[in-house]
Amino acid sequence: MALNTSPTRTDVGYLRRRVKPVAAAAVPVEQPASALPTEPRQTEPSRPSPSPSSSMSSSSVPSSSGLSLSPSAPPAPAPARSAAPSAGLSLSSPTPAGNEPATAPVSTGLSLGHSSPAAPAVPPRASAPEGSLPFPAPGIDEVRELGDDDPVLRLNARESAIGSLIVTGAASAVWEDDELVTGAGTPDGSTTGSPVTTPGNRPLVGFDDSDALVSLRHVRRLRRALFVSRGTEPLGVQIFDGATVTVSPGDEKRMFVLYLLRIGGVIELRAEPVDRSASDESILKQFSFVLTPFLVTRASRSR
Amino acid sequence: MIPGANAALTAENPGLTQLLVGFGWETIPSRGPQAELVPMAIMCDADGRSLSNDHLVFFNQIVSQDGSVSFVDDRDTEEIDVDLSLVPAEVAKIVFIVYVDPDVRGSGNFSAVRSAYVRAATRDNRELVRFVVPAEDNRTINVMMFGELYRHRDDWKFRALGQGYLTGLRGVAADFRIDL
Repeated sequence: MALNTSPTRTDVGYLRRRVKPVAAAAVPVEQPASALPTEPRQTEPSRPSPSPSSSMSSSSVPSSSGLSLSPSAPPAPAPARSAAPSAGLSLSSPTPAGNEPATAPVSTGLSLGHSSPAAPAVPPRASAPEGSLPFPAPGIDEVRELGDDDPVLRLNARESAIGSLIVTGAASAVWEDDELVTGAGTPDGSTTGSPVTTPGNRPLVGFDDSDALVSLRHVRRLRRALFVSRGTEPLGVQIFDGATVTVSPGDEKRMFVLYLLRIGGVIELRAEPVDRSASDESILKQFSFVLTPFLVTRASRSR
Repeated sequence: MIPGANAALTAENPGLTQLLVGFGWETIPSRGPQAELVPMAIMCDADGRSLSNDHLVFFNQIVSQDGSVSFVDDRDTEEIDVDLSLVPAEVAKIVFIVYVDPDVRGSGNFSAVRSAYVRAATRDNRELVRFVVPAEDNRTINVMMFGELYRHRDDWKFRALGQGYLTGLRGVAADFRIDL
């Protein structure tokens, strides 16, 4: 397979975009590259990424068929263990750390609930620094299906920045912006965590009917996203020029989720295997997504 | 300037090598999805085609010698620097377009855009030329060519354009032979 090994161009330095001075608060703070310790297998492009769900026991997690978007509730470990299978994506608060996976609540959907107080804090991590050269990866025109054989592809800077990246077949989407504001949503419009809205009054990542959309005009605000399919329809991706790629549905035990990373100015798409019976919250935990509580603000009162 | 007018930049400003090309506009506020404008520079050969897909400069394809320039803010006026002394001989002109990002959730058009302009200035911000894009019925326009820098013998000139596309970036891609 031909790989995209184009180096960074340095021969057109006569034309460049000027970065206007802005208020310090508006400038995203880039962490040192050393603050990237736990990104799943960014350095192993040539083989399928090991399942981040290796610690999960499929037999321990009964199945459910959908997504539950119930509001946050206090942790209730005991009832949850014996509860009937959920019919949807569970957006309720996850169980306290340590209860799962062996005693995880019943759900086959992605649990997008607020993290429990006992959940370990995730240290801030930064995107790769601008100009760094990631490992070679094929482009979207070189891959028909992301899966075991082709686990990763990388869009170019134009593909990563124009129009919308459309993900079909997703039952839920999780996003994290460059300030680590994290939220999740489902096709029915339910969201949990914190939404990220762009200056164009569109969600940075959100659903439009049954499709999940990424607003590529603001790709620089996006750090990563995760898309999970729970139905029979496989995940698919389409970009502005019409190029598409699908994600392997997996097998009886494993399924693939679509993991989107922004590396500098380019988007990398990865098919990550997870246990098919993995609960929603365990998938979030595997990928270190910690939903940001949404604080509704109001204007101050004046008398 | 008026559409089609040109101005001699280097002939009237001997020693001018570094240009600041600034873009500005206002959009009518809306509670719904708004048109989001993106400036882009396309480096063209003598036939008016882009030299390659990489000869574009916009917010996500920033080319600098050290590769360290990064997109910081998208709510302010955009600026693009041009170092005329470094432009390769095969580049005959540099076209500056502004496109409405084609988001599938209602991308919009230029009808909500007011007071759009492009200007050329020295690096110390001494303005040389300014072209205010005429406010016309732009309900079907989703890409606008604001202006272009072009070679004229040994000098560089700036031409005001103000020409709109009805076919969006796909039309731009076809005209300039680029993949978008």
